Amino acid sequence: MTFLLVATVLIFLAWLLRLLKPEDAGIFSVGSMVLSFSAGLVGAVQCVLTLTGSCEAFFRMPWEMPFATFVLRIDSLSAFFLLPIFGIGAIAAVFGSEYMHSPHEKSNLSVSWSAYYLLWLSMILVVLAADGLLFMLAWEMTVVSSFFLVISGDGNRKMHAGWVYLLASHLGAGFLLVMFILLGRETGSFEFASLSKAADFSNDFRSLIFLLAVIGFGTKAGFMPLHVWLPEAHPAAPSHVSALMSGVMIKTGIYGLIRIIFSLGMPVWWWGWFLLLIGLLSGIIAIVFALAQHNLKRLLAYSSVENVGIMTAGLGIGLLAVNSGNHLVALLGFSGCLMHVLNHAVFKSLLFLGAGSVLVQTETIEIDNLGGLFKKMPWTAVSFMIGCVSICAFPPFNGFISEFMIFMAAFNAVSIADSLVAPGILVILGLSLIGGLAAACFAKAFSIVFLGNPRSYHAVDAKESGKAMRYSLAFLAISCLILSVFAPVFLSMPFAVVRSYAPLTSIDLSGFAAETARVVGIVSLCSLALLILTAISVLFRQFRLRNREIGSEATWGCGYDQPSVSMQYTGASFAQPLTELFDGVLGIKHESSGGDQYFPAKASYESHINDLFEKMLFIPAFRFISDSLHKIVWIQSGVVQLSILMIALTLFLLMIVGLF
Amino acid sequence: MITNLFHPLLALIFAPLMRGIINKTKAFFAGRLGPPLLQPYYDLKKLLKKGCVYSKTTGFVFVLAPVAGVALCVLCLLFLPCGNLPALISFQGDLIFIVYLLGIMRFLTVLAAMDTGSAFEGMGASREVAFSALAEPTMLFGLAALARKAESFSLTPMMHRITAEVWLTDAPTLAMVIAGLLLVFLAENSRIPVDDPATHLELTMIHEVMILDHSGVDLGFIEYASALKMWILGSLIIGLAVPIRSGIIWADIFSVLVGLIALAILVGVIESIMARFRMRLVPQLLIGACIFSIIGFLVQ
Repeated sequence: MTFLLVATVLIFLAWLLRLLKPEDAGIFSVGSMVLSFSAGLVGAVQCVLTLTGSCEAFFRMPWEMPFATFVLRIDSLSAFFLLPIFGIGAIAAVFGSEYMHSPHEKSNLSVSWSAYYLLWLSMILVVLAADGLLFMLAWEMTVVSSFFLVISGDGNRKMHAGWVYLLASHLGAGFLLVMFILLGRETGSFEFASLSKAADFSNDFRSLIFLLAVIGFGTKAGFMPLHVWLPEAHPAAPSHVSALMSGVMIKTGIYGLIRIIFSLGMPVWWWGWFLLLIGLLSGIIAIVFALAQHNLKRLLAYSSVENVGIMTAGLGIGLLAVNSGNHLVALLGFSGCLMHVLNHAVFKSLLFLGAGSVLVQTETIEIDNLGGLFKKMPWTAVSFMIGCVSICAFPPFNGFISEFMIFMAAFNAVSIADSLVAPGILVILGLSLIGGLAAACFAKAFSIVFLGNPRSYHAVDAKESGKAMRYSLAFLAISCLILSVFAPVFLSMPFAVVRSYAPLTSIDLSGFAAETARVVGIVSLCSLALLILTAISVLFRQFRLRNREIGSEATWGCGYDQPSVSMQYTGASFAQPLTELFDGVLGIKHESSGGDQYFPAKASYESHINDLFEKMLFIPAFRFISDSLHKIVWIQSGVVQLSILMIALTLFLLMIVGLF
Repeated sequence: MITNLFHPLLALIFAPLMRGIINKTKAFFAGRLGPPLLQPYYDLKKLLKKGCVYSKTTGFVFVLAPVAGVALCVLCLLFLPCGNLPALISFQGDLIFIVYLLGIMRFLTVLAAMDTGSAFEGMGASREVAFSALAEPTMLFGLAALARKAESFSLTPMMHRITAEVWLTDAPTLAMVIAGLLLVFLAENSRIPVDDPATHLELTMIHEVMILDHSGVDLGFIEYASALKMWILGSLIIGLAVPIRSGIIWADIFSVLVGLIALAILVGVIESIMARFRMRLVPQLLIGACIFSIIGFLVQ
């Protein structure tokens, strides 16, 4: 706990420095940056200590709050989720200290930084809280602080984004509150320590708790169709905050879900199926939507929904394997899910920070207005490219390791276990489709933004970002490689978490764990071999090209030598074959004018895409609610005397009810 | 260990020959003499002797894609068993690794094409990602069907267990999987009916248009890598279709070599007797291939 305490104090000090001189970009900013970074390091040390030595720590403090106790506890599960919170929180703070001073950002600095540090601290509290009510309090603090960050950002839709986010979060929190109250009533206490009693309750009660947890935590994590707030809130928030929200905050939803599932004992048979189907459907639909987006940060937000889908699918197949007693598949599914949590935190924050660097330099985030940034912003471009390769799950970067483990779970299920064939083939089919579409999506994102020629004046004058932003991008990009090359070392962390799952504690998993680590070790070595082979072929190319003539020409245009930048393929046209194939889900609206005459004059084309679930489900539902409420609006006449009369009548009615 | 190196070496030497055989077969059907059998080698030799010309738009990614492509294919070769000869590197899940290595090769080629800023290359890149997104499930699903049959998902034990006896009992599964993989083979290697490597119109190309701006040594790397890729996917199909598992080095290697030559002739025949599909029909073809593998999985 000492490390945690030190880290917290450091975060408070960093916050204080920001508050003392918010506009200062000099010594105060640098000091705060250094403090945040060291807080991240110190916190990460505590996580690693807990995960390797399983030295759980416990902290209890008297608290005036009725029914609640102030109990903090760090066990392997919370340490695992705390690791990205500390790491990404620190990197995003470093990035933000330059980002917030760019002319692009116009929000109030002291408010923005206060909300940032509050969000960071409350996320730490969320995973440490060992009491239902304390957990809910911290949970609400993350919502409120990030709400202020969302509405402090840029963009004309920020208020809309903020309200959608606040509403969605509170609907989710409502389900969680009901869940904790039910659990508290049955187990006799809100403390997590007594949660394990829930394992003995009836299947119906545990399934009810499971469903409430999936809805409540799923809203935060972004399960379809509860994901609607992500594509609104992420583009609106400042980029380092989007990185923190998308890389880390949505994972607190996964944390909560795992925490509840782990305390519910042996899963009921359909839980795994439910999570598996939610995961795969979220993954496929979200990546199709990501592919069709025009806004880079919106695209990344949808891709977060997709990655959460992959994690959920891993969790689902793990639960099914626990049911059927196949512990190898269970270990692979769970630890694949957990490794993906860690990996996704790294590469998704990298991508959001990269998008932020582009946004600061070009003042736009519309994919089709950008282009040719690779030569102007090489640091950002190379880091962003590494992020893209990682998120498409290609070796030699970290995304492959976790997806490989979930694939291993599925292939093991298919080839060895008879009872798990159906979930296994679903995961293989879903993951391979998601993989192919993700490659298309990020080929589009990277190539339209960074390659080719600049498509508008925004991209022409771009320069590379400053040191703080460059180094934080490079740090995350290198982390992607380290997490892949040293993957077997990191694997002991998710294994420690899986061992703490009650139905698996009595089983000796060390053989399976060693085998998995061995296979992942070979994969890591092969990733390293790939880098070496590439280096060899680069040397061979240099060897062939020495003393040879290197020419420079215009791009081949079938003999046409006046190519203009507008002739390049755009993001929309790049994605067109796939968006047309999936038009049934996407429902893209096209508007075009001109261009069909014999002597074409000015022509224009626009395409719009709305979220399927927002359009078909949530807008009608909320419209229905507001229409219904309009019918009883006559009660609220605005006359004070009538209101007092109503209060008196209500009290009178309550008194009569109380009499009986 | 030394014997395990034979197959990768064989592939490195003989891979370009497959394209020569395809072209010779097509020439035979057209009643022409055709280019010499070794023409791909002459081309490679010529290209490696040249300098390079780069478009002013391109940069680092454009240079990286060809060299990385060769490195990726060479790495893939190390995972391929040959008859009963084990692969150099074999672990549970190596087939997933191969699929993803070919995936990143394609990803880099697409990025290199987009780096030129040309509308034609953008068009080819866009088609490539769309079609390969549909081809990937077929490939993994077909391999999953085999994994179930062989109760292992590492290529070496898998090939070891799929013997002539398995063909006697499970011919429908294997035939369906081979049909699915063959369509993936044609799509991934940009052959008819998905893509026409001999076309002269940029608008109708997929793979060829993506490499329009590559030249000299880089183009040589790309040609060699695509020859290796054809060998990699081809030897997966041949491993299933020719169940010779003698364990004798020369017999196994000979069977794979003959099988691949037969596959190249088959591709030549397909290209001679049918035309390229319209682009709109290609997704249907690939979904059809996926359905083949699903049926193959279900009938066992």
